[in-house]
Amino acid sequence: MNTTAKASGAAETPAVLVKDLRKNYGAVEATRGVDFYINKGEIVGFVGDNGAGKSTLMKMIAGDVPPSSGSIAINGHVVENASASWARDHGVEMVYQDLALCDNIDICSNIFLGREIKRRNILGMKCLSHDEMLARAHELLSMLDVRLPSLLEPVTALSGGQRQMVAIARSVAFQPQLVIMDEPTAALSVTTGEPLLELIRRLPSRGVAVMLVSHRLSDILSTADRIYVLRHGKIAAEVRSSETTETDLLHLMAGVGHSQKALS
Amino acid sequence: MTEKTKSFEMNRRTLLGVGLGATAATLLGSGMPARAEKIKIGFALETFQIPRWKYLDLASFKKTVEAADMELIAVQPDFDADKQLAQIQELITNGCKAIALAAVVGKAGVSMVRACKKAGVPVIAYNNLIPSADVAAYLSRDSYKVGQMAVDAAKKAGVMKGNWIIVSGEPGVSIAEDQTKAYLDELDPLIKDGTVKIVSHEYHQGWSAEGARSQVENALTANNDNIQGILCNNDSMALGCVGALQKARVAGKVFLNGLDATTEACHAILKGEMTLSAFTQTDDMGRIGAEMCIKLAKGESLGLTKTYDAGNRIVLPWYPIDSINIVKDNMVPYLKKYNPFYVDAKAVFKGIPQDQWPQGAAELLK
Amino acid sequence: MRSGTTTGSTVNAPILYSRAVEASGWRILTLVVVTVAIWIGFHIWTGVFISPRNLGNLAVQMSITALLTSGLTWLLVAREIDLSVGSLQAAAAVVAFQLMVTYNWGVWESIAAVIGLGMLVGAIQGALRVFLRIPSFIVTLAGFSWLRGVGYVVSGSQTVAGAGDTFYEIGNGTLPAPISLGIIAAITGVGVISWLRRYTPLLGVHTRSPRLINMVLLALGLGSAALAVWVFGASGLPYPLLIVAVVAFTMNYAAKHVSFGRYVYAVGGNPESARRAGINVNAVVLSLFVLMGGLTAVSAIVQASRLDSAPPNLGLFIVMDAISASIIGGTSLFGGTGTVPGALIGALMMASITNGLGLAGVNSFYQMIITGILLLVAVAIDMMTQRKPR
Repeated sequence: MNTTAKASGAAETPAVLVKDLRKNYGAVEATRGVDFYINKGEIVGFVGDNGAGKSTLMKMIAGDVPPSSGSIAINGHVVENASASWARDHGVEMVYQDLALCDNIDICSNIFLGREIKRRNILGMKCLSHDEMLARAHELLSMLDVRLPSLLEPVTALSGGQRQMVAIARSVAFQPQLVIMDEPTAALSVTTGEPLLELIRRLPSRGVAVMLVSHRLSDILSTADRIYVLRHGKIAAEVRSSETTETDLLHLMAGVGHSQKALS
Repeated sequence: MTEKTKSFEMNRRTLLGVGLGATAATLLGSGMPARAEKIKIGFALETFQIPRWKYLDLASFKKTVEAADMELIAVQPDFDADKQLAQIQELITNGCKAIALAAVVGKAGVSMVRACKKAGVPVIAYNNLIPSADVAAYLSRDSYKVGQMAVDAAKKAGVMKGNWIIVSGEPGVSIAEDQTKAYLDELDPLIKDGTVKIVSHEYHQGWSAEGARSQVENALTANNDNIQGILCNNDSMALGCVGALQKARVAGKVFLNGLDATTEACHAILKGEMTLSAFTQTDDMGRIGAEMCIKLAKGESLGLTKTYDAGNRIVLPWYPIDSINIVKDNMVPYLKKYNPFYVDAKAVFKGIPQDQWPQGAAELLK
Repeated sequence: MRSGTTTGSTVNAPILYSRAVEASGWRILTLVVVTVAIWIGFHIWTGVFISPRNLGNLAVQMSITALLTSGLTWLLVAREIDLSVGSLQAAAAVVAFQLMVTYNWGVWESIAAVIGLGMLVGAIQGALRVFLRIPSFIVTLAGFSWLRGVGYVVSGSQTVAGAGDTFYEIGNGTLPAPISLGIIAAITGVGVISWLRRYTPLLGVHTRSPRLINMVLLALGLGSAALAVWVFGASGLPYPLLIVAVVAFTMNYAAKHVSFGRYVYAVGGNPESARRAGINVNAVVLSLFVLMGGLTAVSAIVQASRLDSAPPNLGLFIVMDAISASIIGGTSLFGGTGTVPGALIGALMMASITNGLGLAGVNSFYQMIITGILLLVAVAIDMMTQRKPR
């Protein structure tokens, strides 16, 4: 049975509701009718083989790529003209695989990049409010329980795991509805990846919905509440992480063997 | 690891700073060398690339200054006006009491003269016109006459007709402008009645031989090699013209003049590829320029009678210097006087068969 | 990280420290030390280098390159370049003089027109870069040619001269001495006060912990003020130097305190990340070219005023000097790093060498050799002392 918001007792609008989403690149159908939802405070994992359509899906939700047809609703608002700025304005943040940080700039500036807090100076001109931004960044990192060296340290001096933390901190700094994470642990070892996963698990407590895309099935299983399996551009299955195993997921991804909730 | 790197950097830098400071302190402490108290004269030349400046002007200027027990500071800016301005300021800072200025760009020289005036240093305009009433004197060859002499020579040789090319030098410089004006003034009646046609006329930055060569090549092509003569403002460009004429295989059949009578030009004249080159005794110019500066440094007046009209109601006291056309016939006496420091007689005669040598050449080359 | 006492606006502001800022402070200090060493060396050699007259000359001589290198530094930071500055300078100077001398325009109208022209050319080159995606190296390499040609065509290869005393004053005049002293005092005062505010509890909650480098830089600032008083106290501050100072202060302030300045560095660090953060990268790059065009026009005005004429062969190689100054001052050719103050010290260093060698009567060809070697040495030292990222 589909666990809908109604069935779980809460009558809230899901953070993301996607219906019959399709994307064609010429003759190639990258996404062939995808339906899913993510509730506030849920971590939902997306798994699938290469070419299953995970990155196209992410790009559409984040507004980087317009869908060919179908609807995306963020917090009840249906997307009219998909664009990165629309997505940002409606609380969709994305943590890219390459992190999209500017290495030559310090941590605090990266967190506020493009959304700087301003004040007026003596001459009445708008200028950056460093004190305010530093204070807020400091607060943010404390609340996320993230330990980093000085906020003025340029990002280039941080380790891979620390840079990930900065990217994630940035994504939740502005009260987003949804955070999309693209392979957050891909470049990290298992030990460095663990603190990161812990951080991700803390995000729902801030009311954030998380769309977690990863090929590390163990990470998905330990972090996500529900998992969608993508195959050939469609949702092949939807499972609760507590009720499935890596092997099951692999079978679902490949489309062989019996599955619990096959939806093909 | 980073702590160590940081302290390494700091140590390196501290070391650098301490080292430099110590060196400076030692040198200062050891006392500065005593400076000679001679009066300084500044000579701001145009360039070292054209031989006459180094070997004639500078050589005799320096000799004259030093004979008067004064010190000469000579500078050149590679045709860059801004550099020249900076050099003039440096001459003033160095305490020159008089300056001879061969302005790279005559009009830019005006503000340089102004700066000198402000500092109380008298300036003579050397060789290149500076249209400023603040100069103490204008010392130059009579370039207009040089142009007239070239046209006269062509007329006397009976070739002043048909298609002609004019190759002018650095635009805005009086040597180029005055010669060119002379050509055009002299040729005006002939152009009007159709005897002479100017098929090409260009100015060349930096008196560029490359530019001159291209101009002549293009004119030859455009006129099917039917060119009777080239009037050219100086030797370096004339040699570029020779290259173009050789390529079209008409060298020797086309009138070509130059200015400065350099080694290469004399060689070309002997080969028959150039007709003549005007020579101004620029060693005399250097000597006279130095004498003027010495007088000015001592506060004496120059007492010049002639004037030069620079236009715009600016009239300068003028000391003109005459030139002579060097041709095959008078080459030997010329070489006798100026070999080997300005012209190289051996190079002039290289490859010329002995039966074509002008009289007296054999003794010259012993 | 300690919290400061709350004063309403800054809640729990930690007192911070940045290794990168400290490192760049040391870099500037090294450049200054080397420049001073060069000064001392030349003074020993010539006996007149360190004198108010010569240092005053030096300040003005470097001002033209300084204006160009400021704009170029931001362009280089943003991973762009402008090779056409020398040619634009000549064209702008030529136009200025045509307007004033041939068409009898007033001085200020001509200056405004020329600056507008410079910005327009910058906009054209920027648009070619941004909309046609032609690399800036190529766009401005073309500009190097076509702008030079425009200069020659408009001037007919003739040098126009004599624009009158008002125009002459711009490049050659100075502010009266009392006003100059007042300005030096005011700037020093502002600098000291903001230093105290930032690093000590004397004027309210301070937000950074002072390190050795900060104290040294403060001493350096005071020393420079004293030097300025010695050099310009009698003759007054030259206008070109004032123009450079205004440009430098504005750009430095903008780099740290205005979002545009920050975006320049973001675009240089990672243009894709900047774009994803919502920064209009095209607008930033286009603005930088317009700014460069404007600064080039200003430098042309100063240059033409100094010569009181517009020779069309102005600025043939000045782009080399401007780029070298920027790189000596710490700008990376790969973008993301570089400051205007650093570039200015680089320009000062290079100008000092040219000036000193000139005073000493050394052939100008040696100056070229030394400048080239200096550039290599500066970059080599930089590469060797750089901390490599993990």
